Amino acid sequence: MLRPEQVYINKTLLGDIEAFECLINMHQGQLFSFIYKLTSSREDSEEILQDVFVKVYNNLFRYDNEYSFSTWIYRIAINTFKNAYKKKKNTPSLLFIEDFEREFAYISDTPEAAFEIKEFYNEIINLLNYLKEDEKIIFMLKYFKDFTYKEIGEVIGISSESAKMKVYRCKNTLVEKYNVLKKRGMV
Amino acid sequence: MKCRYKEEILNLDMRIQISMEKMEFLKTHIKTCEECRNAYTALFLLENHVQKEVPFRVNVSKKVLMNIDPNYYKKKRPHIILNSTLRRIKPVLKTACLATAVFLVVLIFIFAKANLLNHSYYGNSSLQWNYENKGLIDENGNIIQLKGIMLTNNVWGNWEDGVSEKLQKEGKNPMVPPSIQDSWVLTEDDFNRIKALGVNCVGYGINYQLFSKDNIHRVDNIKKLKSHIARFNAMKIYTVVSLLVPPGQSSYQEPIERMQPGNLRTKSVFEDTTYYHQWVEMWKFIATELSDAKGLAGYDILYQPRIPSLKEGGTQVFEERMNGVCEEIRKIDEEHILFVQEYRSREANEGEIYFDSNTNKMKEDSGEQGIIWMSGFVKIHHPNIVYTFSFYDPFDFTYNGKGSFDKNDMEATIKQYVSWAKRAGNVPLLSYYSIARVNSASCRTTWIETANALYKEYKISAIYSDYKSPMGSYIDSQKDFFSLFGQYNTREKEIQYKNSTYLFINSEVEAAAKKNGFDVIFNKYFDTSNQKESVSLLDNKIVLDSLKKFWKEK
Repeated sequence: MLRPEQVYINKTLLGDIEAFECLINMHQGQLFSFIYKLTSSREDSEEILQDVFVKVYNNLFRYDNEYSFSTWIYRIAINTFKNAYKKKKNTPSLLFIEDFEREFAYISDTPEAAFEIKEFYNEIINLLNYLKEDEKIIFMLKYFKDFTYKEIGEVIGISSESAKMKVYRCKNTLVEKYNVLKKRGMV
Repeated sequence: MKCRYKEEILNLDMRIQISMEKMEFLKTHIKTCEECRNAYTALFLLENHVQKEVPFRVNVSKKVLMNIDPNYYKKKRPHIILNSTLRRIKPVLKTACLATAVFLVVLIFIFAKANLLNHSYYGNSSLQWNYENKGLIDENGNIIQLKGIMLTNNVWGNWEDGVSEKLQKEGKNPMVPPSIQDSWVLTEDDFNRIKALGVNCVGYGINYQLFSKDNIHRVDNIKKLKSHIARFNAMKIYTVVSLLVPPGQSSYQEPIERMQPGNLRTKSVFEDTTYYHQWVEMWKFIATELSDAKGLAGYDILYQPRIPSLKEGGTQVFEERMNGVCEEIRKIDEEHILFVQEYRSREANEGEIYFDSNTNKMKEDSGEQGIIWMSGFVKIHHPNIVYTFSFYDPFDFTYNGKGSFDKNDMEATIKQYVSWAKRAGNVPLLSYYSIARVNSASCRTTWIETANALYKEYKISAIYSDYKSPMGSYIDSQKDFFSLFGQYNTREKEIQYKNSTYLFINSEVEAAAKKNGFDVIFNKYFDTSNQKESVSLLDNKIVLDSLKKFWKEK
């Protein structure tokens, strides 16, 4: 029995545009979060997301169902993101703490304490900016999308062993940077 | 970070449950190790942060649908149809590609191997000459020096009552070459003995009669030959099928016939067209039957050939016919080696000076075609040829036991062959060699060891001649006996048991035995009641020990 996702893909390829809309609805939420975590900009993320789905539609006949549709669509998303920011010639900051302000408010009862916690989180999240672009992507694929090392390898075009090593290095870098901040009393 | 549990923490996936035992350990460790605690905290917070989805406020589907062609997949676009078709046939395509790849790899392997073995040669023979490595290589690509022994069987001839007397009266060799290979030639004991020698090759002597077109037994004979090759192959011994007695003149008849003028001698395959065609036909038959025989090294097309006089074509006809028979074999069997011997003698042309055996004097030839003893190779214009030569230097010593030998002289002769081989394009050489029993066992051993050392030094393959020959009262056991083993087959005709002793059956046999030195041999090696033990190593133990050392040496 075909997975619903594959049913929508097949229908789209037969000219059913509503089936493609279903595919968009299935993936847009997560895909937006993923892109947003890379761009830190809602506008840019929405624009990239649109481009991603247009590309997905126009190239759907090339999709090989021997591979996961998720890895295929994330590969397109990463390439679209890279092309978009290559044009802008800057790397986005990952400081998007404002989206979680409401959440922080529940953590502490007092505004002072809430501020301190916010600052602490700010510093922690800022650690991600120490990672290179490809490292950030890998870290996101691992901990946001929960891809296996094999799937990460398929998206990036490397072996699963290399993917595992790269994730380890990312974590090592983050921990090293955290220790430096800790020693300086910044966290 | 210096803590030894660094890796444990870094590899820890916060979302995957780990064993209670491990978790308890890490919790305890984190409490006491600040570095690990910091690492755990940082990763825990970051992973949790990254996992959270960002609230999504705008549905992009409408915008996307506005930017795509809704009829894109309704139109039958060629590239989409092609892609879709390819996707459908992908499983079949995959298998086909795999099969094609395997086929190509096999093809490349075959071509590469053929190219490695011989530039202009394609085949899958077990043994080939490699021009690049200047050596024979076996099926595994290992360089190999053929070291073996000749099985002359009984190809030379047997005394046949009623026929032999007539031949003798005509001044011809009375021994009739057999048309069926005798059962005693290669028995189970022989195979076991040969296996124990440590040789990697045997020369398998044949005569034309065994495989002539008019021999009703030739199919059985070839079956037997095939089975013997297979048997040797199972023992990892290559077989060189060697024609010792061709139609017409042969080296076996030659000692008797040389006394006659050329026009009265039996013609050779180079002088007589019928004999030539018989020779070719025999090889075509054998090549057809053996072209796929595993363990076959190849065909030695003629033993010790002689160039006819100029009147009968001279060197030109010799070269043409040697090449001609090779070409006919090659048409059938492209793979196996053709062993081509040097000529050992030449018939004199009118006016040439030769040594007359009748008068033991030098003489000017006046058309009688005297024999000039000289040797040399003719180039064969086909690939995968091994050139062979007989080595009995000095002849008077190895054949007649006269004089002695000198290592430097032997080496000088070998160098001549090597020099020719080099000039001919580093072609391979194989030597047949032997020494008669007229020399003492120790003398034979020393000469053989000298020859073997030269073969080793100059990388020449070598086949010692012979393994086993018949012995008896009427056979010269000294000058005409070169084999390691003697086999007494005519015991029942020549020996009687009388007064608890074995005696020659009559005075005629006894006289013949004395003349040929067999009386001593009989008493020493065959005077036993066990007639089944008719094969004896004679006094060849030290000879055999020395040869075994050479054969088994890598």
